[in-house]
Amino acid sequence: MSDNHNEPEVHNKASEWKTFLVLTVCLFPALSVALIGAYGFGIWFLQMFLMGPPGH
Amino acid sequence: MIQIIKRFWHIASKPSVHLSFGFLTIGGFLAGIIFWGGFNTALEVTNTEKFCIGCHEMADNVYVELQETVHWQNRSGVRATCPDCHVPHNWSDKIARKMQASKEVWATVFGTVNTREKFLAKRGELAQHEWDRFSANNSMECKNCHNYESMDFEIMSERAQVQMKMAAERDQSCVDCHKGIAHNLPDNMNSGEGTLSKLEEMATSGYKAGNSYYSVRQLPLFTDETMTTEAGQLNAATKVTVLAVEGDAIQVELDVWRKTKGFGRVMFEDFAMNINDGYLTKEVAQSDDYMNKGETKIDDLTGLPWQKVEVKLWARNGSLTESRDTLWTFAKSTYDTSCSVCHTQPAENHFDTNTWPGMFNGMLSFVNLDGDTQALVLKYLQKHSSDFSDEAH
Repeated sequence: MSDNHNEPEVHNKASEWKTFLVLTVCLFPALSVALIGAYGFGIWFLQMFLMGPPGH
Repeated sequence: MIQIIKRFWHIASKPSVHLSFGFLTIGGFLAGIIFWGGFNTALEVTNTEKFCIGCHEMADNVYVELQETVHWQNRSGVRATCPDCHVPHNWSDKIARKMQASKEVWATVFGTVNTREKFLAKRGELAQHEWDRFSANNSMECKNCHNYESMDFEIMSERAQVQMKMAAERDQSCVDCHKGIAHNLPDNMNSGEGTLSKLEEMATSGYKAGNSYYSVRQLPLFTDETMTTEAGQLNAATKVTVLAVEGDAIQVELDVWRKTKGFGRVMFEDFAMNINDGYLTKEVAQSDDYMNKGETKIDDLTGLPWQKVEVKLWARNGSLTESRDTLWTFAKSTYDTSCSVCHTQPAENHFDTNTWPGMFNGMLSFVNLDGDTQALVLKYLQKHSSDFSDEAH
């Protein structure tokens, strides 16, 4: 760690806050919506090609 | 850009130095709660009628049509909104339906059905999607409100009772019969069932008193010209003599036979032939006001007494035709196409008149015929059975 010259910029409090907010406010909600959307599309396509319209 | 992502990953992938473990956990937990709350709210907002009619395609077509139906306004003040019938309540299917709406968004963006004409041209296809869905889930969305167990058959009209009791026994899908209950039907099936309009087309008008006609389908009968009290039902392809024409009502005379055992409600075309001409309500069948009774004969085969009666009742002006030929043509083609799907259909004169009903009813569950067509085809088969055929079989 001491002579790791790849270590980029300073790891300060502000950048940790920014990262935390980006994760909780943007990235994870967007990912969740995308995942649920993909799940929905998946079921729709299954209904179209394999299962037929929902039976219950 | 790549630099930013790298820097972000660098921070995100390491334990935090300045933010405490407790803070991160609570922060993530709260963000999760807020997200899920927001997600559900969004799901609910997109499940409202207001949202549905946000597109003019919905607002100007199906929504306007709904407003003329019982699902919009009725004496009990309960109404159905779009999602009540059209969005599955089960979570997975609901999400799938939300994604399917991408097709509707697509249609709005590219104007697939942006005029009434385009919509009408597409209606058949769109309606078929919903009908398929309703037959797959046995009209589950209807049954969220309408329950066979909660139906009081006693307060239904007699005709409805017969149909609804049969449907309840089989837990039949509502939309099997009630297509077009909330929106207009596609153009080519404007009055209930596709074949019904075809049958109606065969009807003539301008009936003359004294002449004989045939009913193109099953018709309600009434006790007088005000047509308020139901007297029974006339079967399809049944011969009637018009006695009087009074505006919307016509008085008809039926020259029929009935079995005198029981109430004698069912009318038959000829002695000892179970060719159904319709039925009477109990009150009418037991009253002498509406009929002249003729001779009584015993059918040796069954030992049952049969009585000839001339019944005089009222019907709506319409749905009669001068000859049975067009009806028989239609019945024959229906018989040929529907029955040949599974097997070679027997020749009409392979069975006698009284054998056909049992044969026919046994096969009914395999085909999709509405009540009027069933009645017509059965009568066609009976009237062309070995009893009426010159060829020896």
